[in-house]
Amino acid sequence: MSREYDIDEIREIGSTACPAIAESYEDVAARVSHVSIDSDGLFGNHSAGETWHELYKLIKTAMDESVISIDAMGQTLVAIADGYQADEDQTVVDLDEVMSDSETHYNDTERPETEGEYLNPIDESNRYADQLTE
Amino acid sequence: MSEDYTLDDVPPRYKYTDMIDGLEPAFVEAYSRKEGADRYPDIAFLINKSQEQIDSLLGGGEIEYYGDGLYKSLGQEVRWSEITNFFLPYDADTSVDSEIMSIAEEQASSDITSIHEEFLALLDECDVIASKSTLSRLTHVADSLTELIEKHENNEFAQVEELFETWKGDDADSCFETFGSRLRGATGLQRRMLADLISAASAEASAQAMALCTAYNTLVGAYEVLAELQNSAVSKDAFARLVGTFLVNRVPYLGDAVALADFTIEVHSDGATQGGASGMISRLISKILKTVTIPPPPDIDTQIGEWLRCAPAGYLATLEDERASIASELGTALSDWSAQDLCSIAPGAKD
Repeated sequence: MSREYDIDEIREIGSTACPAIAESYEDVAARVSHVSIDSDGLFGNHSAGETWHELYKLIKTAMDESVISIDAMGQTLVAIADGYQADEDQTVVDLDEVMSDSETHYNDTERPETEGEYLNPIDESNRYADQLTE
Repeated sequence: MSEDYTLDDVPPRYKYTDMIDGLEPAFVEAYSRKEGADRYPDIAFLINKSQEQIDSLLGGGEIEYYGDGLYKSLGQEVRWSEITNFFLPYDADTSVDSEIMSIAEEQASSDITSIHEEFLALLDECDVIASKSTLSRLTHVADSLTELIEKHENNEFAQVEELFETWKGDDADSCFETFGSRLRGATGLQRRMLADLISAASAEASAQAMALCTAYNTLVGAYEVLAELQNSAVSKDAFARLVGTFLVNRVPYLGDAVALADFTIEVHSDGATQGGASGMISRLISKILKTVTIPPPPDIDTQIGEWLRCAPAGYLATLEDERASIASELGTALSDWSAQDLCSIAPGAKD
């Protein structure tokens, strides 16, 4: 499978852009959680109140999940960049080995070539990183 | 034609209570005159006269004083009661005076109690402080989401999009699927979800402000009518004026709700169906203007009590109607938004 990439760009997005966006979502999420302080009194005893609070909870989930997921995505991107870097370093090492000792065979399984291996730093069970390791 | 009510215009709860309590002396007066007129129909024409009219009849000679507490008018012999504040038959036992008053006080007190109950049933369904505070907090959410979009759309969002122009392969495809392709779109969806939430809260706040202001104006109107009744003959015109006050004051609330609705309308107009607050508010306005039911004017002032007992239930019914409409629109919004993939409203999340 072919891939094109710019390691520095992936790392930059992961380490700078994602945290910046996640931080802004943190502000939104905090303000969303403040809404619930007084909202119980809305709609009196009418069932509209329950539906309103269901929609509120969905929005709260969207904002809370955005903070967590975008932050996790940042870490994933950094891990991917690290993985790509390791691949490139390993490739250089491999070439050196082949050239310096052509009779020694390297063990293929030690190479972090499969994509999943460098995608484990995030421990969120439902995070994007898991999908990559599936 | 109309004043605009905002939640700031809603009087504090104690004012309703005070206004209702303040009606009691007028009710006692009305009931005592009614009791007196029922007992002594021959002098009802004197009992139902206002103080001003009595003074004028005394001055004009239609009522004459014969000394020793005896007055005569149209052949009727009467005495002035300092307890009831109207004429009673000259030969009526002095115990009658306080008897009439205690019957009147009991009836008035019972009226006042049930008027309190009816107004409290409405007041208990409304929470102005919660509505104001929630609307204000929702505005802060809307502001922060708008700030987020303005801050990142030409910076980080654009950088993420550029990343996927140069990054290809399985990793890139996976990241693009749940994250890269969702980031910008999610903010739009989040704004619309929030707009639906704000629309509903705003429509509810409008309905509450309207119900509470109208209820208060009804009490004010009752005072105006009673003031007039105490200075003139019992008048149908006076009650018609109360009804008029009631009608004029049933105006929609157009303050904070519309300001908040701007956010909603703006959001809904970028692509999605124009709905939300604009729809709710215009529906509210048409509902207010067409569902006013005017009770038939009563014949005597004591019926103001009956009218005040019934009015709050009408306002509550209008409020509950509006809530039912809001609930229905919220239900549609909730099922639409619940059907979205989590990653479309929370970029990077996995369902």
